[in-house]
Amino acid sequence: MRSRLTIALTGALIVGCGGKAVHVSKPWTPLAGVAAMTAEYRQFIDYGRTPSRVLDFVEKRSSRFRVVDVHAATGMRARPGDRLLFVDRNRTAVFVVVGKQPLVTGGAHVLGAHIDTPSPRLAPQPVDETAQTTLKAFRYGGMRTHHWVHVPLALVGRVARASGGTVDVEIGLHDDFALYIADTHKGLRVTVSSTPTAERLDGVPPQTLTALLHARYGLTPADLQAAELYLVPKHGAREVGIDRQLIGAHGQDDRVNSYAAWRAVIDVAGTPQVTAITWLVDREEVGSAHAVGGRSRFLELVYAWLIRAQGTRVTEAALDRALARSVALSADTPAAVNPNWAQVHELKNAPFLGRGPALFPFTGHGGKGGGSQARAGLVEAVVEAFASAHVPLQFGELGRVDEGGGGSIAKYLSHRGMDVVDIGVSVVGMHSPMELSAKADIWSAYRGFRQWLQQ
Amino acid sequence: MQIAVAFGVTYPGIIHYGSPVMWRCALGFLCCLTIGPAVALAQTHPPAKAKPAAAKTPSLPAKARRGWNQVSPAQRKRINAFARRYMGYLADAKTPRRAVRGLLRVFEPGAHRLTGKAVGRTPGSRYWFVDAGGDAAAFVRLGQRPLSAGVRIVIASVDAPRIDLKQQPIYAHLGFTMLDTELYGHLDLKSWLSRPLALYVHARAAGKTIDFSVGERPGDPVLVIPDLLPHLSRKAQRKKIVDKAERMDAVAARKRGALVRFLRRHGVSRGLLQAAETSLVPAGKPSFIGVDRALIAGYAQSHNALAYAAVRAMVDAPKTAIPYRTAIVIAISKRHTGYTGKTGLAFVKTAMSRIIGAFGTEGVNTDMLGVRRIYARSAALLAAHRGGKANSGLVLNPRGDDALPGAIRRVLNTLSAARAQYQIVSTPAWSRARELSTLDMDVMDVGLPITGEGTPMELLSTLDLYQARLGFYAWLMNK
Repeated sequence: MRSRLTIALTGALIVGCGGKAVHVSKPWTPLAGVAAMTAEYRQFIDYGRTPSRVLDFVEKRSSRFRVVDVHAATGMRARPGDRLLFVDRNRTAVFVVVGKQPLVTGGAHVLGAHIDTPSPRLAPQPVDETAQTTLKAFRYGGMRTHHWVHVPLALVGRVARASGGTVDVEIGLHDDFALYIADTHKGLRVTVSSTPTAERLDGVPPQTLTALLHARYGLTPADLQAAELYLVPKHGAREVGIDRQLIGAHGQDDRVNSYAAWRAVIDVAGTPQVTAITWLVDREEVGSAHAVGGRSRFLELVYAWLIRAQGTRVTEAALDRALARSVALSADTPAAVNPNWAQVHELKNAPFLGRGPALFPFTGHGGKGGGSQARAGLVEAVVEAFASAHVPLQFGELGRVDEGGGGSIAKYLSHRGMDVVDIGVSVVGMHSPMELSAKADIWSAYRGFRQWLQQ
Repeated sequence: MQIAVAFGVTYPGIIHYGSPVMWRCALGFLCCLTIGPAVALAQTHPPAKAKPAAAKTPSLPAKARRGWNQVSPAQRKRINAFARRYMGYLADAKTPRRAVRGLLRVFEPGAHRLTGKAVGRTPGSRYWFVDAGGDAAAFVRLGQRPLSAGVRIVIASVDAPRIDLKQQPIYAHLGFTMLDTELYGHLDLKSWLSRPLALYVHARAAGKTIDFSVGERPGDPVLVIPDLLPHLSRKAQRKKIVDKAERMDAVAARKRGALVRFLRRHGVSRGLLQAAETSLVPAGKPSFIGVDRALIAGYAQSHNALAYAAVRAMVDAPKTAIPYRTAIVIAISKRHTGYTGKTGLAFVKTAMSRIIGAFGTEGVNTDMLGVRRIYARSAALLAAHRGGKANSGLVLNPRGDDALPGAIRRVLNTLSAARAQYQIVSTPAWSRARELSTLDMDVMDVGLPITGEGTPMELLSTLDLYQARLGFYAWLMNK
């Protein structure tokens, strides 16, 4: 047990010290078991603090996949067994294992998961110019303000520099200081320094965030106007419970299922009958819109590329046919029963941590509004796939009727004519800086997803 | 009249802030303050006719020079170094017992333990003793003058709001093994949800002490009190996020057997667990806040910072600098029960008796008159949390402690002479200093501006922390 932990910690350290580049990359090896998976998952969570960092991680660890530029005129070939990776704007990625059947006639087995998560994000003009001691932030997604007060925070994200190029920023994550929100009466105000920001008479330069951003990354306040900077808890993933069966971390909704779906597709053995696809998307927590969200036609672009690469003319009809023959699992995070607030769940139909991934035949609220409902035949097919891999599966719903509700990317996948059902690893305390998941569930989801893709 | 009554009934008993007696007294007192002077003015000032004398009109006290602008780069370095060492102490001061142990680690090198045996009385030598329970201690440095000249004291209570386990805490519930909890002190409950917690257990069995924690080392598992998700919280948490404290139970394991085995491995049976002191506190170390590293976020700071600063003031004094009077720092630990119990305010008197017994002119035979004289010539500062603005120095609240003008002046002069920044606030809260001063001592509140008291991560400025060190040094050393 201890040696395993040491490995995990060392890994995190390398990841932390080395910035984004080489240290994250690791040649593909199959997963040895739950322990190895947990260690890798913790690195994934600790490094993948933002969507773009998640993509860095998965790109650098998918060595069997050929990165494809959809705009390039050459190299348009997709033979059965090819492993292809399509990335858009460094925020969304489609992993494809080309099946024996052509896409148009066979469709694909798709896994969709999102890599964004609710947390505070910096406003476009974050620096308070008079004092420079606080930054202004807003809420990204359904985060709960009280979870972010009195917590050591780090600033992580990407900036598009005025002079060109992008810079990955990381402040406080591996430093001996952190950032902090003391109260929220005047909105989300993040304390970044507290000493005078004016130049001293004796020439000692002030220690401000602006100065640090310039010293470390050569950034100016004007550069921050084009930035995507998230505030994340300084603490990383922890094992929870004396028996170490649970993982507690920020961002597990939906990075836990993104991890399982990514790991499933890179571990697909041989050449599947039907093309296997994992699609990792951004911006789910704010409505799935955007060029990199679940509603983006990027998936169609990839489909079109594949159809052409398989030697077929891409027509609207061919694309629609390929989509209509595809079957998708929306791998999003269900809410498991919270032992302190059991009243919001209907216990017969609520998922429990540790009993396997939870399948939601329907989502939405107020009569399933704004959600999606799966066809009985599809539900049965998923149940069979998981059973054939000897993976536990439970059914669930999101809380009691009319207690609240939520949705996933399922409906957006279904808008394309795909058959979709929601299924995923559940967590307790969703959208908090310390969501709880069960290691056993992650392992089960990984094996179930892989089985689904390989069928 | 009413005020006299209040003093008569409060010490050594407790007065609750909500008690009618207190409010009556407070009202009476306020009336005296507001109406009294007005009446006096109306009676004594004749109608102004003649021009006022040429004497210069006294102006308001000059605006105090406070904050980082007053700090030189060299002093900034000292402040930072002091803060780093304080954070080392704070990381392990999660329970009163650990805090006392931490203070002792600072004080012990070169000091002697005060036992029942005869001791030397060399001025400048240091002594300490810890209460048998382990959660209170006294630290002494002998002064140039005998005890009969009075002593200088700093008192701080090192307990902090936390979540304790119930006597029968373990239960299985909906697929989890939970720990049933109750509260200690005033907590901002919602801020304790969904964050890593560590478990501290202290017990005694067959003459042996069992003391361990889980959750503090980076590889340790932690415990969590999970919050509800926003998707399902609209109705359940509409009025209040945590509607009852019974919702604050912690996820301790999946399998009950694992938890029971873990406790047994540390020598804690179910029977022993009932008798043990068991607490949940925030896991992890304190952290600097801000790129300038000028703030500290950490658990249990409000009084620990003062206790640490006072002990460090004693230890930092060079050997050749001997305090004028004997200097004493007393760490107690029952602030959140209302200073009750053996190691609450009562420990101040216990400790003083022991110190007078050891170092008084006639030792244990010092007669009642001698003892009373020592108290009458002594003065103490009592740690208290009374608001105040960050980066503005120590917080004094004369309205709360109602100290006499002479005593207030002495403290102000001491702080000014030491160039320790301070601020005066006017918080109506009734201070324990009033009770403590019934020992016939001058007692004043002193606090630090802390943000987020009762949350797992309180915020303190390193500048303010250092003012405590400066101020206490002068208080304990000077005439």
